[in-house]
Amino acid sequence: MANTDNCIVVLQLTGGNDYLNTTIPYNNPLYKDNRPAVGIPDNNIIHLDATYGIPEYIAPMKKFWDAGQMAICHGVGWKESPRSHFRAMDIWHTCEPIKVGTEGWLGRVAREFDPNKENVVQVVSMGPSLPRALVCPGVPVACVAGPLERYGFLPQVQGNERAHVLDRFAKMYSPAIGAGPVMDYLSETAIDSLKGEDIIKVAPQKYSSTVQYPNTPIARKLKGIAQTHIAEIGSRIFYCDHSTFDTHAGEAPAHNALWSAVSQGVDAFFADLREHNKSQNVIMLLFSEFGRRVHDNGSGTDHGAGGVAFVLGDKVKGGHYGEMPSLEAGKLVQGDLDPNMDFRSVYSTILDKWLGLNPAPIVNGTFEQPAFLN
Amino acid sequence: MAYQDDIALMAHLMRRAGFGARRDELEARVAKGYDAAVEELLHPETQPATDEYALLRYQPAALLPGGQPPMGNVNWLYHLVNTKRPLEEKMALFWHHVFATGNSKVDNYDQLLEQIQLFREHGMGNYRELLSIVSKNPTMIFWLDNQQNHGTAVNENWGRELLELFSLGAGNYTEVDVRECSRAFTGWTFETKIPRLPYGRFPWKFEYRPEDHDDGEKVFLGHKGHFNGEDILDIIVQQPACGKFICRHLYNFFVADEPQVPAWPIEAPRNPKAIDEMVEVFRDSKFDMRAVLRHMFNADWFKNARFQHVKSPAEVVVGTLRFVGGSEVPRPGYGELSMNTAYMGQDLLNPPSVEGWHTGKEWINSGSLMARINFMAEQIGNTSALGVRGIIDRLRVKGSLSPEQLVDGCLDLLGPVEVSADTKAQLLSQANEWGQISWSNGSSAASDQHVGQMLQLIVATREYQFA
Amino acid sequence: MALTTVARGRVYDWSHAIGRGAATGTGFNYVQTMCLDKNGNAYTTNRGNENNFGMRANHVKIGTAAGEEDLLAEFFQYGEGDGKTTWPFGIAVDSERDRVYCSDEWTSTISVFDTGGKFIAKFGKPGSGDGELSHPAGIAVEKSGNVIVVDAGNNRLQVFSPDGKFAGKCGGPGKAPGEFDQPWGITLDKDGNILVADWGNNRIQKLSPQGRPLMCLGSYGKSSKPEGAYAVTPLGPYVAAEGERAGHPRTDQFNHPTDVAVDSDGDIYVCDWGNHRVCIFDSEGGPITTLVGDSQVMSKWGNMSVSANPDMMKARRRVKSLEPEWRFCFPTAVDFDPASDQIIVADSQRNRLQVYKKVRNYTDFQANL
Repeated sequence: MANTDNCIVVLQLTGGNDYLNTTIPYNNPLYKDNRPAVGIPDNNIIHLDATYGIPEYIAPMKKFWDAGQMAICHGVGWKESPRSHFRAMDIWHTCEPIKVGTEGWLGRVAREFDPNKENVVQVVSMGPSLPRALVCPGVPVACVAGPLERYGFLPQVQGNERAHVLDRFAKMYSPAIGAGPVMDYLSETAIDSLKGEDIIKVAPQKYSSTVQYPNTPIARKLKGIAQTHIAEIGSRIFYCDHSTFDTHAGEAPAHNALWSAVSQGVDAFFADLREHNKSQNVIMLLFSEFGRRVHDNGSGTDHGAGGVAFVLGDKVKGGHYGEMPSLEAGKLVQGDLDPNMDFRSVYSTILDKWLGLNPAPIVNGTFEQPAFLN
Repeated sequence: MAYQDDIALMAHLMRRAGFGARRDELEARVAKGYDAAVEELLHPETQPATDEYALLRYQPAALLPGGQPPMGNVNWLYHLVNTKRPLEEKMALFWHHVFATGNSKVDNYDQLLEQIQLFREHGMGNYRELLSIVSKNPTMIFWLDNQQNHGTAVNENWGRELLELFSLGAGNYTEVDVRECSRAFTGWTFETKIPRLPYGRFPWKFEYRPEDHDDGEKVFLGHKGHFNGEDILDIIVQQPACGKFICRHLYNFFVADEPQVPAWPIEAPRNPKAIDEMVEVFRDSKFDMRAVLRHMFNADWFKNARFQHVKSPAEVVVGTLRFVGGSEVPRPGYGELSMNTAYMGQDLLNPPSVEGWHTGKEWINSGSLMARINFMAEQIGNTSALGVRGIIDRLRVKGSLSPEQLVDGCLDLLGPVEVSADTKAQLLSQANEWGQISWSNGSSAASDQHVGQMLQLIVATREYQFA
Repeated sequence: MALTTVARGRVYDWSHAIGRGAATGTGFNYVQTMCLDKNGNAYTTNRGNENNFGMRANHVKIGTAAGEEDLLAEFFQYGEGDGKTTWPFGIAVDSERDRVYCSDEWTSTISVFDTGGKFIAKFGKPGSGDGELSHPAGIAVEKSGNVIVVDAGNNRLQVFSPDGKFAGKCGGPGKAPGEFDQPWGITLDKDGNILVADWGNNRIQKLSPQGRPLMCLGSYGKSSKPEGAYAVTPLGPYVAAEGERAGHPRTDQFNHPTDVAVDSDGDIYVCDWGNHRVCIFDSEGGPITTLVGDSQVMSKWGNMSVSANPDMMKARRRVKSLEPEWRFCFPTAVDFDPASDQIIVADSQRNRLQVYKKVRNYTDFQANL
């Protein structure tokens, strides 16, 4: 099923999404025992099956589940998972749980796809900063800080003047004889970026859709990704995030707002792709750096270990993969769910079955592959 | 013309030993003379410290910022922007490059800020002492796992990096030395601290546990004895490689871009004579950083090394904010402002690894180039900002400007910046489109605007990416 | 370490702590100011951080013993528009007229709520003219219902009618009596005299109800770190190896005081922010003693956090000394509740309130116990 035009969208749930309140083991009495303050009441749970449910505010995801297009990967994480946001996120990004890694797994994918760096828009990140998952020496990434329409150099200059100023800019960066290697490198980089800008700015111009995206930051990012994908400019790796899932306090309303935004945004995104008949070659991975502590703190939940990841897409084989780690007190590690699926397993399936790459050198080892893709 | 040379030289000194300066400041410093300027920079205690209480009144969360950005970044940016002791802050940044310690693992911005404070206090002092302070800094101990370095089970992380990245450089010691060095630091750890929940963060405190120290005999770099950590540091600083390593770092940071650190065992320094001179001072002064810096800033090879250093993102952001003004007092959005170095590839307090950042041309990639140019252009295009007003005011006294005068005036007051003939031609061609500009009745706003646009074009040039 | 402080015929007994770090709900997030309602319950403003978390005012039941605390209301959260805030700062309650006034030092406005937190109105705008504000800080309500706002950026006090009309002003920048340097908190004594924490001038000023300077209390003095002491933050407090108050300057020396309170006997309490203590004076300004924070028993909400997190619990059991946790860390507000004789201190960096009781009929025990 791996195809050379397959794309991946990663939606990072930054801050540590509460696994237990996302896929709720609603029959398990230990769930209620541990969640006196932030447990989801029975009548606000939508049942996926006889074991798990999702809160009402994640209702849009139920469509994917019913269509068999949502894989739920349970208990993801790794042994010795750190409770630090950064460290945990770094490990997810670099697949290096022991030392501090410098190359991101998707950066390596991009390098495999395009070793000669011919495609300057292959990797698109919606946000001003470069997630470490995309970092790889020499791999160009288009970081779209604002709306797609304003992507590029000197966004202050718009309107008629823009083409003119950019032309002057390009001339200032045109290679000059005897300027030296660093100057040459600057030229080359700027010209590459300008090329990328030219390519990307076509996307919003060509785009039209009947789909209404909600007015949330994550929906705006997903819309930008949809526009880029629909324009078929050769982008294959998309990254975006939503935050912050760090619900130490006031979790009930916060988790509601966070997942309402994410699930509605994701729903609109896939609807948009389907309207343009461009959904077949897209999967979306949703993950968070860790789950949250099993017992609530009277207002929210603190940093935990085992979490949940979702993979969505037309070609995804929906269902549960792995199972939720035990909630029994004796089975918890420092009060946390003991991860029972290595996160690199999830990556490995995606790399092998969807992107057609050998996972081992990218995720630094061989891991069992949950079969959510054929 | 000689005066203009003095201004250019002072601008160079302030870009390197600080974060640049506006023309008024350059003129004041030139009036006192270059030597006096260097001495003032070398003696930060003669200038007032940054007012931390003002920061905490507005942004109390910047004191113990925890593990998530941006409050830690807000704290450092506030110091960087406000300092009256630019070299003190620049040296803190220098040591942060060398002793690169990251929040990605430490998960306590407060502990990283504490380390930066150590660099402020000791960064221009004695290197041997600084090594001792860093060795006992719990943030460093945790970053390199020395709390897991036990008499009965050696963890070599700190021992190795101390030699490879903090003092000698690869190739100047053996694996046995790494082992023996690590043994000498067994028992160097920190006390359990009060955990972050429920009342917020508390700092670690260094603790030496003699019962966990391996007091056996060690053979280290040809010396034999029952060495403890301090003995190891004494031996390290006496190695010829140590001075060379530290001075090459200084040269790369302050004078001109060197190849990346891993290449140092293979590639000779750009200016071996300069390094030799610095090493001599380093040795003769018994590792006094102030003495080495003084020699460096007064050397011709420093004074002549104009624009041979790609500005780091910290230099870009801090230099721009100090120049335009308006970011002295925290305001809502300061957090986002403080993350701009990260968008350009330098996430302060969170370097990518213990190797620190790769510098020079490696600061530049398509994303980071766009981020830096857009940031600078946005700031410098604000014609109501104090620093930009300063430029406009100096230009408008001339009443009206020809295109050449506009270009030359902007290049001068923004640096002076030196640009190639080709770049100059482009700037001029833009100015020609506007023709003669003047500040007579009615055209004032448009002329201000043109100055702002010219400044934007200049910060977008290749040349402006160098300091 | 002592939980009861005895000095010059007064006795102060540490009662309990309330709070924990929380961006919303049961806890605090960098309290800037505090006031008490007629039932002795506290309103606080919480400054939050640059992620736009934690900004809010809350109404918290204090009680007279640990465990009685409760969150009564939350309002004035981050955002734009009516009832919202960017940088919350001052708060004052007028229980008689069912009103709570909150200042926003970024938008330079005062928002008015009912005591349940329902938005009523807003007044003030940035500037330096009459009725205009710059970085408004503390607020106090006169018996008449008039509202005195510490107009910190303009270094003056301004008086508004309950519906926000300009009614008077006093002060200006400077160091002379009656002049201010970025003042912070304010309180009124039973005679309507005005006491202001003159932050930048490191003193407390007492003014007549008409704004005439009556007394300046205190001068600058900063804690110094004793050799070998543990610095709880880079700016203190310091916990010395021996002796619990090491490093403090004299009682009448302040480092950026943030607030002041007057008890029913006329004693004056000064929140000495930068020295991490509360300094107590008699009504003439004679030094009595200092409180440095004694939070040796975990708060109710704090306990919920600890018991939900086994690793935190474990770490706490390994800590050699919890003393750094007892101490105030940048206290920002102090209030006295005449009904309960309780002194309540907002311990800003620790996201809690510490409650002391001024004990009236303290019978000393036999010294030879």
